[in-house]
Amino acid sequence: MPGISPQKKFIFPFSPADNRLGQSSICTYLYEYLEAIGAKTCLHESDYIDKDYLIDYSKFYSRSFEKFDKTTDRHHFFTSSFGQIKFKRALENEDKDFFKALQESYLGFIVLKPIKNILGQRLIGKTVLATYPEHHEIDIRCFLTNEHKVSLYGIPLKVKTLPFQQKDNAVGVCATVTCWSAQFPLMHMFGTPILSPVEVTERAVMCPSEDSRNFPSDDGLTLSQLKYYFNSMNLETEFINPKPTVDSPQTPCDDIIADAVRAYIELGLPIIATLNLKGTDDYHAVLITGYRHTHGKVREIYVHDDNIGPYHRIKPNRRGKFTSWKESGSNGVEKEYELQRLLIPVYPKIRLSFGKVYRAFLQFKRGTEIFVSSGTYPPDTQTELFLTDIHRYRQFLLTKKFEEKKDIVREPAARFLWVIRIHNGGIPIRDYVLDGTAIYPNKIIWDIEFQQ
Amino acid sequence: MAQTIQERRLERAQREFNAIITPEILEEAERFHKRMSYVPPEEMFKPFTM
Repeated sequence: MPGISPQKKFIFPFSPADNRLGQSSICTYLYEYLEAIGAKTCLHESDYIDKDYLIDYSKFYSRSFEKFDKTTDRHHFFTSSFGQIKFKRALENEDKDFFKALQESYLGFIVLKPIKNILGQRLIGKTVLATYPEHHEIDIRCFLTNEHKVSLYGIPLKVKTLPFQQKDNAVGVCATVTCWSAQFPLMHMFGTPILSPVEVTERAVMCPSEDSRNFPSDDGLTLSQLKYYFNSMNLETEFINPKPTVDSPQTPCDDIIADAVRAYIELGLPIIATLNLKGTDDYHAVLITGYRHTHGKVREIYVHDDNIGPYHRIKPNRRGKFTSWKESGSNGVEKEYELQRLLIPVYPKIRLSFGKVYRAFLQFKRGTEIFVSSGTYPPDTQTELFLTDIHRYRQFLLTKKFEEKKDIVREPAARFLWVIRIHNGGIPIRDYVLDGTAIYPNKIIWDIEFQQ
Repeated sequence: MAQTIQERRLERAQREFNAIITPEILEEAERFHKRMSYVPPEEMFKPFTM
């Protein structure tokens, strides 16, 4: 059977000390992450054909004088403990109970490419690992995820996550792999194609830049190339510059980054954050993949950072905002990034932009704050803004009680909706529902007051 | 022609909404959107290389 050597050991108790993936800083991060999500067993699948790497190989590496393997090593991780004899016996006897238990404890996989970086460390390829748990004490974590089906020697497995991979200077650096990860939710929602990193770069560089070479692609992509890439997929792009709200005296308590992250992740749209390393002319791109909140207050943002790893935690700055990020580098030196812009690829029918609806949202938010201080609304009442679609919103409405429900849920409405929600401790009080396909934030579809 | 229940409800909701989201707020929203979505040309061509 390909991938299983009859003699060689291929199942191991998970231990970061084994350095099975390598010793790069990204591997150290992955070991810590795997420990945090409860990995107990690692299964090594050799000679695995990874489609993304195979395309990169055929378009780039196969034409090098140096010989590169065209197969990869795939490591699967499980929360349960089991050994090689038990696993082989289960394959022999088609042990369905064992396969079911494997699925229940499956955490996903990491592909190790045969390509090395300048330090001689093997690069991390497609990584499909489970997210942190949804609940953390009273906090709730929300992630951008889709179900990924995996076949392990014919055993059907699945994991809900967003794929990650490390940059590869030959075929694509940070912006390329950020676009690569962003493709997965877009494919699930809008049917756009999944390209390999080399294909993402090829397509993006059709928009010319000032850099001399496209490949090797360590010159990186520009914002105009990112925009071109998504536009070529028949998607629109929205840019959000946090500065107008950061610098505005009218919005001292508002964090547009946290608000935008909540707004777009609700629908499942990926958010690219562009960063500038403070004091330098170095720019970086990462993908925002989720957040943790306490009754609506965002405590942490999670990012796929190709220099660090998947679901890297970002904490708010001293002012409680996510407009600048601090990170400890591998040498222990702290780096500070300024978040320059968010880029969100959106379906063209989502015509009402975040920028336009955000000002209306702030007006409702200020109104709610007045009602809280006057005692009309209970303390801790908050206002949130999010984008949704009619199917999800109707599903939500079916779970609630409100006047004229049987008429409202049957009424025609726009495919995309912006919702300004007033809630207390997560319990909705009132929803103002706007037409997301409109040009201006002046068309209300529903104004629903929920019965408690 | 008599208004349907849906039309009456929508008209009421729109009236209440317009009292909060006034034409001045809508104009401000346009300006806000322009400031927020504007990218200086030089920034469009800065490569992400990290």
